Amino acid sequence: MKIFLPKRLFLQRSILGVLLVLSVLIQGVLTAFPFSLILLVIISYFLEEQIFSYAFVLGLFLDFLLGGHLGVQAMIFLGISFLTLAVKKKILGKEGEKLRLPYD
Amino acid sequence: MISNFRFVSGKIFWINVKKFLVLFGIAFFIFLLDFGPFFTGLKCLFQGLFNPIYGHIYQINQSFLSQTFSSKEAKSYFLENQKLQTELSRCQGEAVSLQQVFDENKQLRHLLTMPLPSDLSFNDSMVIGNQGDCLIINKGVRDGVEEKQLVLVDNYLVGQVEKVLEKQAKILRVDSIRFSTPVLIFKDDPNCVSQNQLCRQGKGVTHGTKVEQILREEPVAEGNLIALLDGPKGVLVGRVIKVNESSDKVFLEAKFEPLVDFNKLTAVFLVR
Repeated sequence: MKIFLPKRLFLQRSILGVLLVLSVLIQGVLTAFPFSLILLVIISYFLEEQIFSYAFVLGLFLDFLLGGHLGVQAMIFLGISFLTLAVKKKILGKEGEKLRLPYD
Repeated sequence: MISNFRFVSGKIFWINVKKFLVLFGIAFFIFLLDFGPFFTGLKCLFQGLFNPIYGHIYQINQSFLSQTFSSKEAKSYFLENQKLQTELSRCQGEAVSLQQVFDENKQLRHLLTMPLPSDLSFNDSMVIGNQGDCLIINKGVRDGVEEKQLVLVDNYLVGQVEKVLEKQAKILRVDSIRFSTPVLIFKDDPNCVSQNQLCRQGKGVTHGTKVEQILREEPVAEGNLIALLDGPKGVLVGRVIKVNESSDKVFLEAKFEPLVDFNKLTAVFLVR
């Protein structure tokens, strides 16, 4: 079990990474619909802090693909993934760190 | 009650903020640097690599779209639309081509009705450009154009072939300061011949838009026509608009205006 877990994680992350790259390619070449951003929000849930590296690299890649100003998409991706993680931690995080609601 | 809304931990920064800030900072730095020319080469390289891929993906996308319509009716409309667009572009091309031929035909008919000297033979040519004091025509060495050939429109002199290329030639305009030719000056009076008068008013040499070296005793006046001396007869160069003494007070000088509007020239004849 100890041997298979990292491999499984690696496989899982590779698949998520490939999905992100594909979504960026689709967004950059085929359509203006922000597939990659939506996918990034979903994948942030699974990858947590590691999503920042993905967001940075993919944002730059999308900037190159779209031929726009460099760094814009990278900053947007990083900001969105940070917000997603913050919201996730506050809603689904540890009990003591959650947002306490009036009816709690 | 209100205090219940606050974040209990007081921090959301147990997310790896350091990593986020570093990456965000780098992205912002790249953003700032991109206002300068630092990434231009990299962008060009990327576009050079990805443009062929874009092309392939676009083609695949088009064929994919054309093949994956859910209903047969929609697919048939799509194909019909594509076919009609092809047909439309073909028709537009044909219409433009017909217009071009019609215009050319009209211009040539107009030129042929003009009194060109009948004892000369001509090559017709289209003016394709204007370059300073020169015109560019679409005939060159392979069409038998030679240097020093005279260029006419109607029976007006346009200029002289200055340089000949394979498919083009450069015409030095008659009003150019570099163009010089001996000319005769005549009265602009059709009855001159029948009245048994001497129609010739003088002679000189053109230099730009001036006729120089006119003898003082010659009665050159405003409105006189200037004709080519050295070349086919009846070829007009311009009309005298002002006569005055030369700077050395020995000769007269006549300022003339060309009879051709060089900006509107589309077709010319080269004297063979």
